[in-house]
Amino acid sequence: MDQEHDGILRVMLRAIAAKMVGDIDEFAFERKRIRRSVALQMPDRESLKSIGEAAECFSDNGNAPDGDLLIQAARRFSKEQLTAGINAGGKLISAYEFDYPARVLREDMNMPGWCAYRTDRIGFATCFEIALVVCAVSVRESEQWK
Amino acid sequence: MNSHKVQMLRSINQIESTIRPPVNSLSMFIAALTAMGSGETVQRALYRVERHAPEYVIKDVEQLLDVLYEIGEGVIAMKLQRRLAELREGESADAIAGLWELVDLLPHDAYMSFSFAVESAQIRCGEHPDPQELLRDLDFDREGFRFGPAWQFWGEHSPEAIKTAREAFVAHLLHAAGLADEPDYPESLADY
Repeated sequence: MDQEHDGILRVMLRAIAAKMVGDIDEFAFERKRIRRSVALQMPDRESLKSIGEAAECFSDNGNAPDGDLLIQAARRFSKEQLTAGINAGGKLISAYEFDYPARVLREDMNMPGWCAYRTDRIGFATCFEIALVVCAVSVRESEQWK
Repeated sequence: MNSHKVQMLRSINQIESTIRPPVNSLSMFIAALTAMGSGETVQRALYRVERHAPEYVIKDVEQLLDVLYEIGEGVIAMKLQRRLAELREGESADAIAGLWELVDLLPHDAYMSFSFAVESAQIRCGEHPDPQELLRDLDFDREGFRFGPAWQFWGEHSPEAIKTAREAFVAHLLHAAGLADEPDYPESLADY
């Protein structure tokens, strides 16, 4: 999301999140469900072909991750793999890493701007509000199955 | 940019639909029409249904209208349909009164409807340099809509932006109340 011009969408996302979780600070920060993270973002699946074994980090147990982006924590890669990723069109970004305890089905969350790995129970977004909402929906989903 | 924004708004609506406590659209309809001055007609409709078709448990407006036609009360049904159409147009003083009642009953959804209106105007007419200013300069109360100076940003297209925002607000609020389908998202004027 455009940092400067999408204030209203951010406010709307916060309003939804607040309706779901109540206190956003408590949900996101005190419980450490959302963290800042340095991450590697790849432009598309095609770009993964030239990064060798590192491409597996963008796989969710053999499947594409949930969401529309390809982001993975930089700590998962060696220096050489990061270099290969950047050479293949990827970029190192400051992302929001979030808990992803249950899968958010595509039809319920056709929202752009995130990526999540069900196997690792972790997701990433470039915008805090998107991380917040996807995380909240995922937590809500997981609690429904308890 | 616009398609991205539309996708975001759709997603927000989807999530809203899943987290919103079930809204009794019939109650919303009764409340809105009562505020519009048609409370007596609604009560008469409900009375006739209860008397002539007690086997029906009316759950929503569509069912109420269907049953009214079925029991030969088409005149009342048509009157209610006209009032619902008036509410959806959101222009008349009565419609404003009905919408104001819904704002009162659904404050969270009304808040989202304002945001939705601002975003829809921008999708239609172009990005505003300070969208929060648009939000601050948009008001709705018993007297109707008020659009402040920020809404003149688009010059000759400002009336179009205001019209889009009004329609988006009404459609979003009525959807939240269960009285309309999910709103259509505007196309950009730049696409023409």
